[in-house]
Amino acid sequence: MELLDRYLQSVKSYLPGKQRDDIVKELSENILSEMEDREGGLGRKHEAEQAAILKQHGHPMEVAGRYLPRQYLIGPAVFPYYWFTLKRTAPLVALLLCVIGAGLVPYIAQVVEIASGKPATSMVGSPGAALVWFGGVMLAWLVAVTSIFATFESYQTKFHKLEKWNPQTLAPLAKDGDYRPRAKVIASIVANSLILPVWLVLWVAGVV
Amino acid sequence: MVQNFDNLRLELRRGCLTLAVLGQLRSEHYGYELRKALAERGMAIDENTLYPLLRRLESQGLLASEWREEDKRNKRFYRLSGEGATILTQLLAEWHTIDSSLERIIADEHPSAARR
Repeated sequence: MELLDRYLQSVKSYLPGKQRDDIVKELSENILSEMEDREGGLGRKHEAEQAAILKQHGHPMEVAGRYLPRQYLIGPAVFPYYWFTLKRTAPLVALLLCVIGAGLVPYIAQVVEIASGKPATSMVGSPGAALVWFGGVMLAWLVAVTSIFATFESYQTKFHKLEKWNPQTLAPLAKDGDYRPRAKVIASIVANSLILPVWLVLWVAGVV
Repeated sequence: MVQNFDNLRLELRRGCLTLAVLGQLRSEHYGYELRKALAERGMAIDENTLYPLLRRLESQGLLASEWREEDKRNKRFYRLSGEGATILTQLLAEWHTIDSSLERIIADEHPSAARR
């Protein structure tokens, strides 16, 4: 049954290495049984009928996907913190880059020249280059934040701390109804204050 | 509205899948055969859900499997392991508990009206 073999070949290509052959063998057997069962009996089926059965079975990528260990990059428990961090810090990073790009670069360039003894590449060259630089840094920031939270996801030990909370230590009522949770405020400050030194170091090192 | 019910119904059934599979595997079945048996008894399971589930249950030690030849073809037969049988008993007890809880909840004809 060539069509079935082609289907299985495709499924196999999406499967993780270790149990490939075993899974495909089992799958092959089950699909064959089904094909035999339909319309009561052995014997060659039209390719169209085989195709219909395979189509109902599902796309090879989807089929293989079910055999993979279920895993989130950033799971439902961690995601809200991740999203909050991104929303809060991305505009600030962007703003900071504009400031750096516009104003500080010439000064920093001088410092770099003096400190490292090599001529600093001029960032204020062309608008195109500036845009690429800007986009690159934003992208790198996105990757960094995502990686950090993906690591949280893998090692969720941090979040067990939440289990030890005491209701009596909750914040007192805010006076004018404008309540900002302290944890969020602190997170903002920490995140924002890390940005400038980190990127400055990377920039000086010629990475960014 | 219809979609609401469909999603909730699926979710409800999904919770019962493992129990149904364990229950059916008190006797030996191979993949496709199991799927048919379940469907005949009203628990139709999508093959893409069933086959990976079988592997997962086996890796958790609840099922045992072996390859055997039947009708000149090699088939993988699954059945409950010792631990699987124990878990099945426990899950069934849990199922009955849930069932009676629900009956009590529903039997309460006017749950909050009485408090007014």
